[in-house]
Amino acid sequence: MDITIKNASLWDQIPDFESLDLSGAAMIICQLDKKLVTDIHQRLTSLGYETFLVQFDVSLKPNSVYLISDDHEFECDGSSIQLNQDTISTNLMELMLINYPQGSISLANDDLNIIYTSGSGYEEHNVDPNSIKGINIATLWEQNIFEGFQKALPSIRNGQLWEFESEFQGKCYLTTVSCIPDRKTFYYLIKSKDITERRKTETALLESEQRYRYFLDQSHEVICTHDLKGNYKLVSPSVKKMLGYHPEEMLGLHPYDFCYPEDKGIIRSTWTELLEGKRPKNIQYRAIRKDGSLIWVDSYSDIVTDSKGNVVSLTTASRDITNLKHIELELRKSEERFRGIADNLPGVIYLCLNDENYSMLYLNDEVKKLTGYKKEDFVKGNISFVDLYHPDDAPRVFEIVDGALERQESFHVTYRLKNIKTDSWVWVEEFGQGIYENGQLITLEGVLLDITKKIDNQLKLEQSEANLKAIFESTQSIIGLYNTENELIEFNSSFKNYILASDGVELKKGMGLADFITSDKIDEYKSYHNRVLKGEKLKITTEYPTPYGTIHLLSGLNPIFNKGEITGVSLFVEDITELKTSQKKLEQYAEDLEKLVKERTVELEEKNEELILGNEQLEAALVELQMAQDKLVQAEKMASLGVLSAGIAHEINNPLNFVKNGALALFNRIEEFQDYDEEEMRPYIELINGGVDRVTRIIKSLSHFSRDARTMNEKCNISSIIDNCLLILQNKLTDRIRVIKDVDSEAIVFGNEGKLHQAMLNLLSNAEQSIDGNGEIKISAKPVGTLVELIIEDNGSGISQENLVKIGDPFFTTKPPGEGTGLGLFITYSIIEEHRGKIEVSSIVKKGTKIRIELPNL
Amino acid sequence: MIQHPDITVLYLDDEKDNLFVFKANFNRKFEVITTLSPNDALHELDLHHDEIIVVISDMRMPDMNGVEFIKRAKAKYKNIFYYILTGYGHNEEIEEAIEDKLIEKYFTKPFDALEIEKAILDATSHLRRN
Repeated sequence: MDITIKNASLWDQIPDFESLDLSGAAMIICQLDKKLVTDIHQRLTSLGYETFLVQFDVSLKPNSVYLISDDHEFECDGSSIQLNQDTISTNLMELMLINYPQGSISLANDDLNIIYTSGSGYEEHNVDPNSIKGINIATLWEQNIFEGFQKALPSIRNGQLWEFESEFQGKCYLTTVSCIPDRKTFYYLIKSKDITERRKTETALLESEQRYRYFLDQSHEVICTHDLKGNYKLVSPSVKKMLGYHPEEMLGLHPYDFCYPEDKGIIRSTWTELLEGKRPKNIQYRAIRKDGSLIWVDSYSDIVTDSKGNVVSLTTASRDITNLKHIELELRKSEERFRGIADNLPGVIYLCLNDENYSMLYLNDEVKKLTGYKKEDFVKGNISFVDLYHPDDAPRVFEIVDGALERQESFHVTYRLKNIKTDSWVWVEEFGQGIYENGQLITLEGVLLDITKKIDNQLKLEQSEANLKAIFESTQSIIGLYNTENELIEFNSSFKNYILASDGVELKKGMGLADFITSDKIDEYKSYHNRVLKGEKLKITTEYPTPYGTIHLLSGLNPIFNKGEITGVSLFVEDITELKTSQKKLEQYAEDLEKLVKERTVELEEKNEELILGNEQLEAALVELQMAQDKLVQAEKMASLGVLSAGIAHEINNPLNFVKNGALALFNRIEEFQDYDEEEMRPYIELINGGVDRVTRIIKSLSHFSRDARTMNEKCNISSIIDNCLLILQNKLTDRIRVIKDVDSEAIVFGNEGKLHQAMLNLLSNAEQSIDGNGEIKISAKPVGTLVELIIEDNGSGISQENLVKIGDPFFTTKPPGEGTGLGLFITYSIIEEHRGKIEVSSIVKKGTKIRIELPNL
Repeated sequence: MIQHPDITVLYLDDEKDNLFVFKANFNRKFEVITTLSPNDALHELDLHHDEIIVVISDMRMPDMNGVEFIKRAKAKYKNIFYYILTGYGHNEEIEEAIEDKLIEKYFTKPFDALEIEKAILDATSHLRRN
């Protein structure tokens, strides 16, 4: 392989590498200024040359460029470049020093003699780095260290780092030895670093950690640290006893993994609060042991902050409180049971001392209902039952209670208590007893029952019985009650009097039917009673003729039920003579009413038919109305046409401008020609001008119809309005209709020009349409005083008298459907009215129509 | 041969053919400058405002209408006489412009060459008298 060597120190300037021709050779550029190396490397690479920056020995490849800076000396054997050894170590040292600015650094050769030293470490100990050069490391290092080094030498040569720590002048050093293999030999790089401070803190940390560990290991509590997500970072060994897990098994896991799923929320909320800055607190939750059993855990959580106050971790101290919890739960359950019973009892349960005020130790909630005071009021001593006793009852209560306690017996006493809420006396029944311990009275316990209702009910019953009795006696009807043996148990005086009169017997309780019914009807009555005793309810009407007319009686026989069983028969006999009479009258009325209703129904039906008929007419009117609406839409369309034509006016006027004035310019030019013959040209000019004028006028007049000005104060010249309208109608008029126009130029009114145009066009158009064949329209207008009078007269078909009154109505038309909207005259009338004018129409069929309009000219 | 070489008229219309017929009818009588857009017209005014006596503008143009253009032009050059030449018969904005004395009067298309010539000559003599 050809090799070209270029010496850059000979260059006057950096050559242009673009025409570098390698053709299979390798090129070495040496003695390059250090500052230029990278730059040239980049340039050559960008030009497409394979370029290498030589810093170690390399083999040469064809078509490549090798750059060597001026701080390297080299040899080339035709296939590779070898850099001078000394330069390697020096460069390497510099390279290392850049990366290793602190401590000391030395390089030893394969004989283990120091050949290079550097670094601030030497200066700190006042050691001249050069004084160490040439010394063998065996003499520098302590024997055991050197022996260790020798042992490790093969692996160091394989690229492993070897470290040892040593002390020198009271300081600690970490020395690292690494091997730099060179072409034929090995160098050893020895770096020493002062780690005194690090060691101190490490020792301190170790001690603190050991103390901490001791504490952790000895504590019964399980102490853990958690990262901010809550995962265990450290778990004390006591967890083994508590949860059955080895601490290692728990690292990286979360308390959620061990707690009872329902209790996760307790941990989550506590930790969230903690991280939000709230106070640390104890929580209790259930944890699942490794063996699957549940335990109760009491856990205290807190945060750990670093020196800046940032939260770095969480710490928890937990203990097993299962036994405690069980006892607590048992106690709570038993208390709940007691309270459940106590609170559901319909009376007041108490436990109190046997002192003057019966100081309360326990009361259930019922006391509130009974007395109006809360149980707390009694327990705190704010109020005593003694204060609530009825003054008349108090001495008796004390006597009974004291007596019973003396005899160690239970007591039962009924008395009145004040209810403060209802401000009334409550009847109370009290059952109580003393509780003795070793024959000594300790407390009293007992129950108070509210018996006010019971006593009230008794009173009410008595009252209700008295009421019934009163009703019994006050009625004229006969009332009697029998037992199942058909013996009389109750009866009123009406019954008594009746029997006395009819049968001559004085009624007494306990009498059987046969005892007071003497007539032959006894069997019939008996059979009634027996039916009723089987559950039947009977109503029997009987009639008795008397000298004053027939008497009607209604007897009701009903079973008496008590708790679902028939215990007797009740008899109720009413005189219904009046009722019967009224009933008859009512029947008569009903009959009359029915007759009346029948008559009215017929009338209504007739009315209904009429309504249906009216409805049909309305529907027809609706159809007509819809038709009219369609027509209105049509009229709207016509109005839009005016707007449209105004829009195109601009488009037409511009080309008209080209034609008219183009032609004008053209004629002016032609005039200058020598053989210009005016006579010959004039018809052409007039033709063009006449045509353009006509179109211009039409466009202009169209625009009058489209003006949507709302103002009513435009100056309107009737003459020009008529002219515009005639222009529009021109093609209809042609030469079959003669228009005689006699309009005074002073005929001027103030109003809306656009609308007047519409009105005039409608009238003129009607006139034109009324003329079949040849005819004549006369138009005249002139100011008369404060008015302008306008007359339009045609000799067309005329309007019949019958139609004449209708022509102003909207949608009235005599034209075939689709041709006229019937709105023309209606709109015209409206416009004239809007202008405070008057319109009169007179017509004779086949002679013509005359329309006279008056418009105020102010 | 221009009849009145001392009278310059500026005519503005967005349609080329309108400019052509205007020029064809008046370039023997006056110096006629025509422009297709209001901006060009303003530019011409900046150059020739000393010579221009009359400005005639179309009403409907894409960028701004004739009245708007004249408002701008008149703000700068108020000694010039301004007119509108429109394809529309009637327009409230034009009526207002007349009432506000922004324009002297308006002409309708197709224009009447004599009417415009008379207006230009009247304007000139009015200007010269003062």
